[in-house]
Amino acid sequence: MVNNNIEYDALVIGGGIAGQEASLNLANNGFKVLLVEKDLSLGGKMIQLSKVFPTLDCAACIATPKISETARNPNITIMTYSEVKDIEKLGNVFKAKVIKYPRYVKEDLCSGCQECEKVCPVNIDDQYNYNLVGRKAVYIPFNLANPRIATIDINNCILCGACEKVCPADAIDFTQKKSEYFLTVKTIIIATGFNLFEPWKKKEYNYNSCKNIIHSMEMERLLAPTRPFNYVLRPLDGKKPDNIAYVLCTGSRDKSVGNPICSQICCMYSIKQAQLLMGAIPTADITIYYIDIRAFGKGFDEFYEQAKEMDVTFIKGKVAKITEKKDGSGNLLLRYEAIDENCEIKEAEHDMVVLSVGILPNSEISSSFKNEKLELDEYNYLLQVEKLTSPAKTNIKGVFVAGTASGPMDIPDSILSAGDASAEATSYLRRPCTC
Amino acid sequence: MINDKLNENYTPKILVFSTEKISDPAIDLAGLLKLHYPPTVYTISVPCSSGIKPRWILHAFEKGFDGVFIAADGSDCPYGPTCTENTGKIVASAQDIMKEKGINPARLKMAAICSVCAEAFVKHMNNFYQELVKMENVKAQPSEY
Repeated sequence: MVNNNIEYDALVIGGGIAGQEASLNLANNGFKVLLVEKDLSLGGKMIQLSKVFPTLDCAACIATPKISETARNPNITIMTYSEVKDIEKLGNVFKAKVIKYPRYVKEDLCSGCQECEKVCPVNIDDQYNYNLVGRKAVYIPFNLANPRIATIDINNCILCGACEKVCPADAIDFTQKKSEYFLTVKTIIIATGFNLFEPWKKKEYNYNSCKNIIHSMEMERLLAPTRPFNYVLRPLDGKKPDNIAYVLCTGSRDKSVGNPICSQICCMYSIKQAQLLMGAIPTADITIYYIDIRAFGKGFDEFYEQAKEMDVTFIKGKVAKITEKKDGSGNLLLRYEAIDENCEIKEAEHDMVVLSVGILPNSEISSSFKNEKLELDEYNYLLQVEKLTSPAKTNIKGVFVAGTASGPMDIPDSILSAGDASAEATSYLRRPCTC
Repeated sequence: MINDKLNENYTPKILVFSTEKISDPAIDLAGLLKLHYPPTVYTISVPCSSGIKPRWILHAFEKGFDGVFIAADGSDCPYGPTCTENTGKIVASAQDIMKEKGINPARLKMAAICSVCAEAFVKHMNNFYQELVKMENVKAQPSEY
């Protein structure tokens, strides 16, 4: 299917918190916005989190109303499960192609009743819960998903047709194909967010071989209101963990894994998780191994002090190695250098380890630009050509960057950055015509 | 003294108006988290609680529901910041009509439920259920009439 010549004022790429904020600002100024999200639902990373630091507000409670507001705004058109390709600058406008992948479910008919999920015989890992639990091959990504539409994971589907028989709306359509849309837009905001550092890349932490080592996003899921088990359990045996260790700077400030910069959020989210764990398992001992605690924002240091008062143990020392104890208990041995104790090499036993993974750039979008090259900085984030005076500007006039696509930052900063990008885009759209 | 035995088989039916983007996911989540609340709670999802009509609430009572609960959005409503106020007015006018018809206005309740307030919802349902049982027991006392 080919759809030609669709015109919008602005194209926003990425439907996370920054993309939504930028879209809403533009839409409320009267501009027509197309918001393209590559995932099945709006929400990005924030919708999966437990709470936000340092206020401990519920992340989903903040994110859901914003998502609904974006979804119902008459000036915003949303395309989920779609990707932007072949962006070309022609004079004052951009031409782009959007590829919409097939859900194998008719979006206008599906009511999200989940009858299909009940009959689907395929059980596979649920990527939205970081494989902690399972999902079906036909599925609604998560219960706060917007749009709440089922999708068939065709790679895992056995084509039994059970969902098709049971669907009360006759929405299942195995004949769907990917469709292409050709756009003309005046400005583009890139809000593609970040990728998580993959913890297995840090070989000495043995993430893949030790089951009781999880990463911080898995812990977020265990603590979130939409948590899969309604309790914090360690993965190997489902035991309640009593002695949890956090290893900060996993994949950040580490040249050996190719990411020399600070991720800016790991210290604070680890302190947040430690406090939440204290609430969830009051008897648990929590130890945070750190190089530096970077509590630089408003209320951050107080939050750190609060964690200390709650008896979270902070040990200054970089963990060198994590191994599983050989006695079959599944407990883990952490080898670390205790910097505050004459740099002595020590070993500590914990029954669960959380790797506070850093964030990596997600600049895949730069390959979609055809006739003009979208420049990246030395760390592969989008280059901010006027970082101090107009941080949203990229090297292409009319293309702006919002949120973590330009560098690591926390949620309030992402929203601020999106506000900046939308303000820049608005003044760009309202500029006197130079043609 | 209230005679509890009078109505030991009494199971009040509760109708919940939820909002499709905010409170309905919370009610869904209560199920996903396997939280327990009375099985006689029925949910109807609406786009925004400000759109609920008092006559719908009255219709629910006519059809045999013992209580109606409006799971509103509070200040989270994506349709407007005055949603709670508007819904409050609807509740007040419905309660006026209920009084006229001899229905105890306490049978209509409203609370703000956020998108993940599953536990709060369950607590509301259990409390409301108990209140409705008590109301029925009081009603069954001959001395009240």
